[in-house]
Amino acid sequence: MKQHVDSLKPFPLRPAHQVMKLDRLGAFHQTRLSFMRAVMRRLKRDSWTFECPIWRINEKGEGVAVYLAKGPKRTYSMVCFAHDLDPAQRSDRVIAEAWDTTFALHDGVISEEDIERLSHNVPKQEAGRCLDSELVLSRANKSVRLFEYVVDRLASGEQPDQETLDKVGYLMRTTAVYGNGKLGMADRDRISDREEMLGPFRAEMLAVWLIRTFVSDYVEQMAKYRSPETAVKLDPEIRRSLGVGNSTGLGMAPFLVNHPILLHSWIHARETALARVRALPDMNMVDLAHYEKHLECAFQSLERWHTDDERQTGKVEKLKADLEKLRAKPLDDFLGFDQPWDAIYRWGEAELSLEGQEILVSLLLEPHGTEIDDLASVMYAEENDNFRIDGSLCVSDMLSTLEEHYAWALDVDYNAHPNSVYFWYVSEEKLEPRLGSRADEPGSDLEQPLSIGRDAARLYQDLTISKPEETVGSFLLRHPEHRLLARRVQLTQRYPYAEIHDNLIGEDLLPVDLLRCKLSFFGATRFDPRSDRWVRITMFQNAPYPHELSSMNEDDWAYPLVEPPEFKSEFKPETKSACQGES
Amino acid sequence: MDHYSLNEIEASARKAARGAGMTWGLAEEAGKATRWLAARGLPNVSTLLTLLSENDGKDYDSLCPQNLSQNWSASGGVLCPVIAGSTLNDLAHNIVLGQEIKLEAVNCPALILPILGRASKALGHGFRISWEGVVINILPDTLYLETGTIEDLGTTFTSEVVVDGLSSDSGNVSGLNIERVVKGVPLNNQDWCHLQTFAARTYVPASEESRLLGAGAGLTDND
Repeated sequence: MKQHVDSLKPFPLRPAHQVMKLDRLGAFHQTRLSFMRAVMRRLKRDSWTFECPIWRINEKGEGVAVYLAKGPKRTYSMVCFAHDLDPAQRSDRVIAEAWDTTFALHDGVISEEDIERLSHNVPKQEAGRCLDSELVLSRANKSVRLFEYVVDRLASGEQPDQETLDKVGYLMRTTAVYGNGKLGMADRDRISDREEMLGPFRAEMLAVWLIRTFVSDYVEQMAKYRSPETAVKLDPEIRRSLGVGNSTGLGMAPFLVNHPILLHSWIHARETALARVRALPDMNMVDLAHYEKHLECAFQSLERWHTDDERQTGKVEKLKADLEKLRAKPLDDFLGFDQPWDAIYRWGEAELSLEGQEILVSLLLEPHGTEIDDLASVMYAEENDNFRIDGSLCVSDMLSTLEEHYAWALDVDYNAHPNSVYFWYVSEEKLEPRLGSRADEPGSDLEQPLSIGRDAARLYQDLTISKPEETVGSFLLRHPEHRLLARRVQLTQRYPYAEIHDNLIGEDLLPVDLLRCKLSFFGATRFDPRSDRWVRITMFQNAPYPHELSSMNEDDWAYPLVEPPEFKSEFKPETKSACQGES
Repeated sequence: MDHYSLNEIEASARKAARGAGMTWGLAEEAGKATRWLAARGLPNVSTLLTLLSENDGKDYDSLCPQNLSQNWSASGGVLCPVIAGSTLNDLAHNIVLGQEIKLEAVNCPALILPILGRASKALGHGFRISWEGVVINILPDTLYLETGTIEDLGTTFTSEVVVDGLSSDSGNVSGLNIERVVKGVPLNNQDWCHLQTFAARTYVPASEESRLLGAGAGLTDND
């Protein structure tokens, strides 16, 4: 029997000063609350169906295809354009002018007129315009060598070698997935009350999942064109091992800072889920087996985590050692505790690296869908409703809030060079966020407001020399330069996970940590930093394809499945497969 | 005439306001205000552009209320509605308690409405705002244009704006109910380009070093 969450004594959430450090956020892994997984559960639960009514791809690999995703109330059309791209134009960066493939998710069943309209705009991406009937715009480039290799093998009637595929994990990678009103598309407000869109980035995740489908269909088609007589399709298991790549740079980094309430709601949901699990008074056999199975899967999936990045390689090595430790630890040791899941967590906190601790969080959540999956749909935030400053409070109130929530920022000497090495700016040439060196590059007078720690300290300084009883409203009239921070301080009082507790302009900053945190919430795996400010990831690897969704488990794909492990606890599971999802 | 999303309008308006010299916190107010007006089919980007052009090059100190007595005026002669509106919001509790505030000489007064709209929602209390030929009642979830037309809201200058609280009984409130609708907003190309010109002032020109280092990439993608 599952414990009813409400009947349990609330368990304290991990405090912001522990969770919101950048090195920990940069060690987050996907969880069952991650958006990709939540989307899959929703599609399965509501018995969505999928079809591909339009497939007009020629022998050069050019043309258009449309996939329909049909839910209980609505249909969405994924429009896929394939192009014959000159290799010289292929770039991994968000900035480019041409791509191998371009995509739009259209609201409703698309008409030929709309396909025609999109064909003049979607291939141009930022240089084109969409209407509010479009929800997502994206593009992807081939992983050239692998794509060619797979076409070649399939054309000759052979399957590609799994190990070769595993080194990359995808045949194409997206360089941007735009939604929420970009380039004329629909604002999120327009669709946010739809059931299938509850929770963040639902439309974007649906689009990426359908991109993966297109890419696999496309590679099979190209093999068929190359050798119609001998070509074979991908073996379903090999096919499933292919995800969609993504390459993300600094453009994404400011997102978490610019959406403080959203950040809070994501972290709060994850922490609430962990607290609910830690509060459980016992471990039942099925859950235990489920946990052990995922631990084993996670351990084995590390073999497929390839990166050339030295720091990440070190972290993965440590994680491997952590998971070995965790596997070696007899679970019986925890069974005697009042709250055995909490006991595992606390053991992990003492024994494991940050990567290890955070993957343990993911693993602890894994068996507990019934208790926590509801949290996946409350991870959205209405930033507009929380925008207002309450100017009736006093200077002294704001000082105490700063002391309580921004202690991490107040003692830093921002005049010392190492603590303000960087400045964030938007590049005129690329219109993308960038990180500059204050000492070496011009433009720090055009700094973006991401230097939260420094600006909090400046606000604090000016508050201390004001009259304690002065209202915040009157203070801000005298000090309009503090308005942005004053708003954040008031927000953070209500939303403690709104702020990252680290200096975002100091020499120790690793922007990839910001990217990793966000991408883990998406549900990405195989983080492969290409520098300290650019990361490649894989999405939907091992997930079912649309045609498989009705007959497969929608929720056990985050780690590649392995043979059932040898269970170490004395309670042996009696059920069939412990990995069967229960939600 | 292209259509723009509310997010595009807000993001560009925020950058443009910053580009025209507002602090980031006030620029956020300007961005949200422009979005709010656009979502209700009221004059939006064009109004902001008039304001930014008027304020361009002027000091904050010449545009803000000189003191917080009942009559607010700017040392430069004309109040900025984003600054004055933000201050009205910050002190909205006083208006709720019955204080009437007069703003002497204000540019583009419609930009005050969104800021008070948000205050109304947060406080659960209504406000009445009026200027020559226009009376508007702002309730927590509704906007009523009691006197004047939507075009009147696009006025670029008025000699006096009066703001006071409405009693919590909204039964007496009447006028044209202006509703919020989320859909693409038509904007003329000239206004959009003008907005981008202000926004572009927040961008840093590229240098060879920044091209190489700024994004941290630079590796080939043909692998």
